[in-house]
Amino acid sequence: MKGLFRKDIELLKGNFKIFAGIYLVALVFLFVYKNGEQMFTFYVTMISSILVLNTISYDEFENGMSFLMTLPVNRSTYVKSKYALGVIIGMGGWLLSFLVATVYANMKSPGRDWTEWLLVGMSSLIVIFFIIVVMIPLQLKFGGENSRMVMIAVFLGTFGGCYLIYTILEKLGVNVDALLLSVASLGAPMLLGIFAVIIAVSVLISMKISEKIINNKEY
Amino acid sequence: MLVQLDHVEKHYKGFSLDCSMNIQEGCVTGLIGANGAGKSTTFKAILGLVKPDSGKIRIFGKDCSSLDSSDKEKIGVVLSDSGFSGYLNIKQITAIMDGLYHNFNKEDFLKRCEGFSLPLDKKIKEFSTGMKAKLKVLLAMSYEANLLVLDEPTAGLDIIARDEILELLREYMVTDGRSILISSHISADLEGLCDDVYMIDHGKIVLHEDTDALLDSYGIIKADEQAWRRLDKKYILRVRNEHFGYSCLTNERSYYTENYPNLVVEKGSIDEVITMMVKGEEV
Repeated sequence: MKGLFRKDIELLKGNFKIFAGIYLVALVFLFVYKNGEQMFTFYVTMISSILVLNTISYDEFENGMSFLMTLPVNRSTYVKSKYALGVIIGMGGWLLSFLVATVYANMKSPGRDWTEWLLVGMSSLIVIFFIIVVMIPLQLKFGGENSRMVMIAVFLGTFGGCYLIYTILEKLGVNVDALLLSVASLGAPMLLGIFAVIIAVSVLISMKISEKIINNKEY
Repeated sequence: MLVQLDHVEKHYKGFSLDCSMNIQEGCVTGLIGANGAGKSTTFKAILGLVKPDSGKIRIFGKDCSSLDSSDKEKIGVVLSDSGFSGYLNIKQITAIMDGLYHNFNKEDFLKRCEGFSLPLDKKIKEFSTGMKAKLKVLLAMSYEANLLVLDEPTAGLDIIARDEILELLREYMVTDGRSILISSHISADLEGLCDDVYMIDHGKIVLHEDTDALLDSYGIIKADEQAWRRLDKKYILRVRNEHFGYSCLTNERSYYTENYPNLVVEKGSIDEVITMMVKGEEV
C-alpha cells in the first residue's frame, strides 16, 4: 500500500498549482461573504475529498489501470488505499479549514456559541463520507465522466426517496417532524455516536461493494 | 515450467481465444501474430487482467488467480498500451517503485536511465515513443524479476531504438533462471532473440517451433503445376495458389532440396512462415 500512496501523493503534488488555485478561491468565501467561515470549511473539505476521485481518474488515464493491476498489490489493497487516502485527505482538509475558520471567526466575533459552532463545523464532515461512500464505488464502476452523471441520479434519487418516505409517513399519520426532534433531543454525544456508527458501517459496506466491482473488472 | 497455459479460452463477440503454451525456465519465448490475433488477450490472461472462461494458467507452479504480492514481484511487465501515469516523471516513479518492490535497484535503474539519456525530471507524457518504450523495459528489469512478460515492447520504434531494447533483453537473460515471454508483430525482432516461437492466428496457436528449427528446417517450395503434381506432399504443411503455380510451406526443407534438385526451395523467414500458416491451405 506504501507504493500506492506514494503514487497518489506524487500525482497530486504534480498538480499542486491547480489545487492551490482552487483552495485560494476558498479564501474568497472566508473573507468576502458574511458567515463565510462555514462555507469555507465546507468548500475546502469537499475539494480535499474530491482529490481522491482525481487520483482514480489519473490511474484510469490512458488505460493506466491495466498496468497498475500488474503491480505487486492485489485489487482489494488498491481499493483500501483509496478509502484510506480519502479519509486522510478529507479529514486533513476539514481539520485545517476548520481551524482557520475558527481562528478567523474568533477574531471577527469573539464570544459566540462554540458548541453550536463545533456542530455546524462537523456537519461539513458529511461531505467526506458522501464522496467516499457513494462516489468511490461509482467512479470505479463507471469511470470518471459517467460517474458524475450517475452521482446526480443517485443524489436526486436519494432526495426524491426521502421526500416520498416523508410524504407517505405524513399521510399515515406519523408526525415526522416530531420524530426528528425527538432524535435531536438525544443529545450531542449520543447523536455523534450514532453518526459515527452509521458512517463506519456505510464505509465498510461501500468498501466491500468497491472490492466486488474491481474484482469483477477486466482490463 | 515457469508458465503453463492449458486450453485457456476467452470468448468475446467476434473473437475467441483458445490457447495452450509453455514457457520454460531459461528461455525466451516469442508469441507472434498479426494485429488482433490474440497476443494481448493471451498476455492479459496470464497477468490476471482478464478472466479466462475456461482452462488453466499456472505461473511458478501456482494457479494464476492465487498469485500473491511476492509472486508478482517476480514478474516484470511491459504492456503496449499501458504504463505509469504520463503525469509522473522518472524521479517520482523511482520513489513509487521503491515503495512497491523489495528488490528494486534504485541506483542501477537511475544509472541505466541516464545511460539511455532519459530525462529524470520530465513528465513521461512528454517523452518520445522510443523513450517511453525504453523506460517501460528498464522498469520491468529493475527489480530482479524472474519472468518478463513483454507485450509489443518494440512497437512503433525505429530500428536503432528496437536494437537497444533487444540488447537490454539479451543482457537480462545472462543471469540463470530467467525467462521472457515476448510478443511482437515484427518477426525480425524475435528471430535473433527467441529460443522458441508460438504463432497465433484468430485466437488459436497454429504453430510452435524452436526458432533454430524454424529458420533451418522450414522452407518455401515454388512449384509449377507439373512439379506440384509430382511432389511428395508428406512434409508439406500449407499450400497457396500463386500466378506461377503453388507456394508450399515445408518443415523438411533438406528433404526436398535433396530429392528434388530442380525445384526452387527457399529458406523460410518467420514472416514467410506466418504468411503461409495464416493464408495457406492444409494439404
